Amino acid sequence: MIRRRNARTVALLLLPVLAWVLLLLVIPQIRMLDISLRFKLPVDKIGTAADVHTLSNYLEFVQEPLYWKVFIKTIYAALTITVVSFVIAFPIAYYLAKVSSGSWRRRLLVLILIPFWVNEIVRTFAWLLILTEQGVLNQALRALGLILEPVSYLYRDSTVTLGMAYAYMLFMLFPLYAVLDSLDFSLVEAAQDLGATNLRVLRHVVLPHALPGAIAGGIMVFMLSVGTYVVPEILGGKGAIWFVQIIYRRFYDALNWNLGSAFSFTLLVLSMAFVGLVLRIFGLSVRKAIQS
Amino acid sequence: MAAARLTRLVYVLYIGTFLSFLYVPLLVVALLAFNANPSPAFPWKGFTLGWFGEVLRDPLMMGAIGNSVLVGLGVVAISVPIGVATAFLLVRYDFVGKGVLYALVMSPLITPGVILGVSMLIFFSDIGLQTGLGTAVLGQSSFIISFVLLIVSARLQKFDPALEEAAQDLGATPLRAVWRITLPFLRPAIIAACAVAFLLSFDNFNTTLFLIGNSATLPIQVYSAVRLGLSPKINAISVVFILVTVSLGLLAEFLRQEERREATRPDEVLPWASPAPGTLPDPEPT
Repeated sequence: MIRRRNARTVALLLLPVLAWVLLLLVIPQIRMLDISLRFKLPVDKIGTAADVHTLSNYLEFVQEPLYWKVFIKTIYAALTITVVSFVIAFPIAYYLAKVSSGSWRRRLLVLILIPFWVNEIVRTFAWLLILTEQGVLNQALRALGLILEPVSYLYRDSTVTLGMAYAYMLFMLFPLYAVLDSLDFSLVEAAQDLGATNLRVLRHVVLPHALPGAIAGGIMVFMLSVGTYVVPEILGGKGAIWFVQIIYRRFYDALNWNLGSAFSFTLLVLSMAFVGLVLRIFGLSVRKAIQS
Repeated sequence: MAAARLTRLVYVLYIGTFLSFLYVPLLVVALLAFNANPSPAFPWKGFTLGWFGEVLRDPLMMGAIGNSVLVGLGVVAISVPIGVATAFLLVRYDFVGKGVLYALVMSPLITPGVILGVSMLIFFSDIGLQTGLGTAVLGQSSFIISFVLLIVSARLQKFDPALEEAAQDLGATPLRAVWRITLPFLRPAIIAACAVAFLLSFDNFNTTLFLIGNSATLPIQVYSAVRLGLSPKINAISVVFILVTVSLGLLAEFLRQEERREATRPDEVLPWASPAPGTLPDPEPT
């Protein structure tokens, strides 16, 4: 009797859940994969005998250096931003979790949380105001007499990278803070009592404990960096094209949804593979860290 | 002692630099929203609220704010009930394919938003659904439900099912037991999830970009304005945007902390769970 009632409850709960998962996630992504494996055809030819499956869109990605060069640049920059975010955020997270205390810690946390909620576009716009030719940085440098002519900082890969690091760094800080907060400080003291130098304590006690937070934060930063459209579009313009812009242009300027889908699917598979790989590599070393 | 002081100094300098890096760009945006200079740069030409007046008179920007509120409410209406249902399903029941379903409901958290948007654009155009505010609501819900699920299931896991069983032993139907006992226990988490869902919707750009059609939400409108050319009007709308999202963020954070605090004391949520002696009539002996 109870089992039957359970089955009915499960069925009732499954209904909205499946509607979500199937209609908004699974079917759209299968359709994206499907049209990425077809030629771009005029509307009246779609569904006819000419509408066959093909790998031509993926071949175009491999054969056109512009595409895969931008793809590699995007991945490389996302990795750089992830590592830089970790290096910059770690001391802040450590200070928040283990050095500061009481009302000062709470105030500092709120101070850091506030910019976290400011929209990506507003943050990117802020850098545009600072870095544009008639902008604040050039005005300041000229007023100080350091430069005579305004310098153009925009439309460079390095500027786009800076803008992204600024926009996503805090996604690394909060997971790091959460794991460091749970670190038992007596472990650090015990290691020091046993004669370990600060560097060895950091390497063998603090960093292994912080690893899950670093991975969670790293996945967030990497995903946001490979997936952003706003930052490269506003700070990079035509001078620094990133992969998501190429996808966007296939959909809206070239109206080639088939090629755009192939690019999207490539990006999806790669980012999922990256997350899987990172979890695998560090999953092993986490286990090792626990064993030793 | 001297070493400790030096460490402290290094920390203070480092954190000061970090906070300046976070805040200086935002202060530049805010400051130039009140500058009478027609281009968003220095020199300072006097204090004005005129740029805010221009925002108020701009039907596109005011319309975008209205659209963002509508879409946000739509997302809350769709994602909170589905997120709660998913939490019940995954926390309480075992069934064939649960592992696969779990992976699927978590996948939007690590899928780039652009890809969610692109895939739904293709599917919606297949089935003849016109892009607009409605498709933006669906698109944003596709990943916001996952966040609701995380918040609600964390609290549901702390719920003691014995309370619900007790209600059923006292004659409540299972549905009534959930309604009167479990949902009140979940209420703080559900309220926090509503705030988080609205904030995520209000902030979203990547997924919305592909699904909004000819309409615009606030982030899309700010983006179009930036592309058209710099004006202090964009600074003014940015200040409004910052104020809205930061207040929503503080509210969401406050609600989540309240929720975590209460979760350790169920008697605050369910006053009748631990009654003071003599306040309830003695139950009939069974």
